[in-house]
Amino acid sequence: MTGTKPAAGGLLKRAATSDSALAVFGIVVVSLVATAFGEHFLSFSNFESVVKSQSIIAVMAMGELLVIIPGGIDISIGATFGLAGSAAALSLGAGHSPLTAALIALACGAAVGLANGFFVAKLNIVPFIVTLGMMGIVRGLIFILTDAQSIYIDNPPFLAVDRIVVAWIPLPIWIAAAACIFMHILLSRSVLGGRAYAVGGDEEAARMLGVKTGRVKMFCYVVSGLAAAAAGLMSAAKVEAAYPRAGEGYEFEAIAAVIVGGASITGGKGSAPAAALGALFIGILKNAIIQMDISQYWQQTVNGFAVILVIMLSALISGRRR
Amino acid sequence: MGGYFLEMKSMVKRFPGTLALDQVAFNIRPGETLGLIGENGAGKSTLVNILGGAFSDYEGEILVEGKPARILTPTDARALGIVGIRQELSLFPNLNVARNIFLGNEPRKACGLLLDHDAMAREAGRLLASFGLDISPETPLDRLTVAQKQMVEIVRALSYNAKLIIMDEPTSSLTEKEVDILAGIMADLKARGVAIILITHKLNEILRFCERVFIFRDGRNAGVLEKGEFSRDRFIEGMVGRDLGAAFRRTRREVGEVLLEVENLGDGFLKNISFKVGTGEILGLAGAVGAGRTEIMGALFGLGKISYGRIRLGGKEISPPHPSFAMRAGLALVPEERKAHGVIQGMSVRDNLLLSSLGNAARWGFVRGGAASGIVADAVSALNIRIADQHQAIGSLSGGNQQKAVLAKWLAVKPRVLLLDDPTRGIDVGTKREIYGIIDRLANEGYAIILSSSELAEVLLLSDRVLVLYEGSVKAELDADGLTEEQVLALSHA
Repeated sequence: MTGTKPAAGGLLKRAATSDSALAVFGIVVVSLVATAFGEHFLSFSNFESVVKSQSIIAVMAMGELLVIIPGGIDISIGATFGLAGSAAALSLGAGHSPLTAALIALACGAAVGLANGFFVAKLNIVPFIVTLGMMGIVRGLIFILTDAQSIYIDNPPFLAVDRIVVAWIPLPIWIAAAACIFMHILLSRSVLGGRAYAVGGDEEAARMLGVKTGRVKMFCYVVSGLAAAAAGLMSAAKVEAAYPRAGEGYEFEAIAAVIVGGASITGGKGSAPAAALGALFIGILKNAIIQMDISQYWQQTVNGFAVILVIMLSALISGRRR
Repeated sequence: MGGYFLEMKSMVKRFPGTLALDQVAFNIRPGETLGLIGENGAGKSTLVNILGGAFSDYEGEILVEGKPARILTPTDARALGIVGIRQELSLFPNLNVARNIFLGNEPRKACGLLLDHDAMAREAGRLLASFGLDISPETPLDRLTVAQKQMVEIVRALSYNAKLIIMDEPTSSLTEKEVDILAGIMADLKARGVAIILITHKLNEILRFCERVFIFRDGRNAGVLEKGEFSRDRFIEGMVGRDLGAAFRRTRREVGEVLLEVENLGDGFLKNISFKVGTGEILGLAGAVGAGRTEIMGALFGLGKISYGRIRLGGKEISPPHPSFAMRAGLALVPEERKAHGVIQGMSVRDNLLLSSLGNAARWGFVRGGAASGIVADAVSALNIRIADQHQAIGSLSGGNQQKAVLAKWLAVKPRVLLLDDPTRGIDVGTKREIYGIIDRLANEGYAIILSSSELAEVLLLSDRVLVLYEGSVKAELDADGLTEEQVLALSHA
C-alpha cells in the first residue's frame, strides 16, 4: 500500500528530530565503540552499575531541566548536593533519625533554591551570576559546618537507600525513574510546567498574558534545589560518607545531560525522558573510557568534547531553524 | 452622542524632550472598524500603547463603556477587553496552537493543577473553526505562516472576550489572498460587536475596511472623517503640515561627480534598488516605517547579506559589502538606534570619539596621548559638542550632544560618504536645527550624504534629491526643489 510509506517516513523523520534522538544516537555509538575495544563493557552487571551510578546524575538533571526550560540555569546544584550530604551526616551524628536527617537535607536544598529564585525572579539578577555566587556561598557553608572534615555514616537504615533492591532493580534506579516520571508529568500535563515553556519561549509575552513569571521561576529553582539535595542524599548513602567536596563538577554533568537531551540552553525546549537518556549517555561515556583502559585523566576532556560534538550535531540536524 | 465603547479625552503623554501626545481626543463605537493614520511619529503608537497598558504616566481621561477607567498595566487593558495585535506577534513558537490560544487562561482539571489538554484542543478547534480557519490545534506554532500566526493571535484575543482589538499594520507581511482572509475575519469580528482600531500606512485599506478615520499630526488631532468624506486627498491633507519650528534653508550647491553608485541591489526584502550620489549631495530616503530606509543603509554598510547587485564607491567596486571593508572604502554609518549602536554608554566622550580612529593617534600600536587629545579637541570644537571635559561619561550628555559625538566619531575616520539614519530622532528642536546646519555644512564640504528620517519634513528640508521607498523598492526618484509632502506621501502610502 502506498499510504503507509509516507507514514513510515514521517515516523523516521519524527524519530530523527525528536528530543531523545541525539542521546540515543550517542549511546549507541559509544556502546558500539566500547564493545569493540573494551573487554567487559557488554555485560548486564556493567550496564546495571552504570545505570545505578548515573541515577544520581539523572535526579539532578531533572531539576536542572526545569530551570533551563524557562530560560534559566542553575550551576549551584553541585554545591547543594554536597550541602545535603553534609547536613544529613551531621544530623545523623547528632542522633536524629534517618528520616529527620533526610528532611533536614531536603530543606537545605529547598532553601538554596528559594534564595536562587529570589535573586533571579525578584531582583532580576542574571541566573548564571546568582547561581555562580550561590555555588561559592554554599560550598563555603559546607566547610564551615563540617570544619572541612569528611563525616562517615554508619546508620544502616540510611545506607539502605543505596542497597535495597526492589523487583530486581536497585532502589536508586527506581528513585531516578520516579523523578523522571514526575518531571515528565509536571512538564507535559501541569499548568505550571506549561507556563515554564511559555516563559522560556517569550517571557515578555507571557507576562503580558497575565502569567506570573517570577513565581514560575521561583518554583523551578526550588525544585532544582530539592532535586540536588535528593541526589546528594543518594550519593552519601552510596559512599557511606559526606565529603566537603562532594558534588564538585556534577553541575557540568547535569547540564550536559539536559542539553544532550535536546533542551535549548536559551530555554523553551526540553523533555524529561530525553534528559534522563542524556544522563545515561554521559554515564556510558565515562564507563567506556574506563572499559577501554584509557587513562581516567581523559575523562573530563572526553566528556566536554562529546557534549560539544552532540550540540554541533543537533545544530546540523535542525539547521534550518537558524 | 454617547454609545462609545471607548472614549479618550485630553490625552497627554510626554517623553524626555518631546510631547508625544498633546491634548488628543479619541473614541470608538462597539463593532466599529476605525482607521488611525498619521505620519511616522504623529502619535499613533503612543496612543495605542497607552491603551495596551504600556505606560502608567500619561494624563487625560479614559472612559470604557461610559465608566472612567485607568489603564496602567497590560493586565488592566486585558481586563477591560482591550487587546493589541502587534507587528511582532507575541506568540510562543515552542508551543502548539491550542496552548498558545489559552496561555495564561488554561482549561484545567485535577483541582486546577493539571492542564485539560482535551478541553483545550476542543475549545481551540471550535474557535478556529468558527472563523473558518483550517488550522489544527495541535500544530506547533512554528509550522504556521505569518498570516496564520496572526489569525491565532486574533483567536486568542477572542478567547478572553476582547471587545476592542488594535491591529498595528496587520497586513505588512501578508499576501493579497491572506489579506482577503483577514478581511473576512474582520467582518466576522464586527458582526460579533468587536471594535477594531486599524493602524496602517496603506490608505487603500482605510478606504476598504473603515467606517471612520482619525488623523493625527505632531501628537495632535488633525481631523476625523466619516465614511462619506473619505478620499485619499483628504487623508493626505490631514497628515501633512508638520512644523519643524524654525526656518532653516539649505544651501544651494553644485553637485560634484558621482561618488557612490548603487546598481540593482537586493536582498530578501529590498528589490532592485539603484541610485547615485555625488560629492556635495544629500540624497534623502523617504518612506513609511518598514519601507526599507534602514535596510538600505544596512545593506550599503554590509550589515546584512545582499543577494544581488553592485555597489561602487569612487568607481571602485565594494560589493559585497562588509563593515570593516566599507569603513576603509570611505563609508560611515550613523545608525538609527543611537543607544544601541552609536555610542558605548559607559565610556567617556574621549574614548567614544577615538573608537573608530584610534589608529590615527597610534604609533607602533600604542596610543599617543597628545595626538589623541588633539583629535578629540578638534572634533569637539568642529561640531560644537558641549562638554565639560573629554573624560566625561558620554551617557551624561544630552541626546543631541551624543548624536553630535557620534557624527564626530565617524568624521574622525575621514569618510567620503555619510549614511545618516534618522539623525535627529528624540532630539529637542533647538539641537535639531543645529544638526541640520552641520549636515548642510558637511555636504558643502564635499561629503556625499544619504539621509533617512522618520520625519518627512526633515528629508524635504535637507535633501537635494529624494528617493521614495515603498515595501522594499524604489517608488520614485524626485528632485527636492519644490517637492511637497503631499506628493511624497501620495507615493509612499499606496
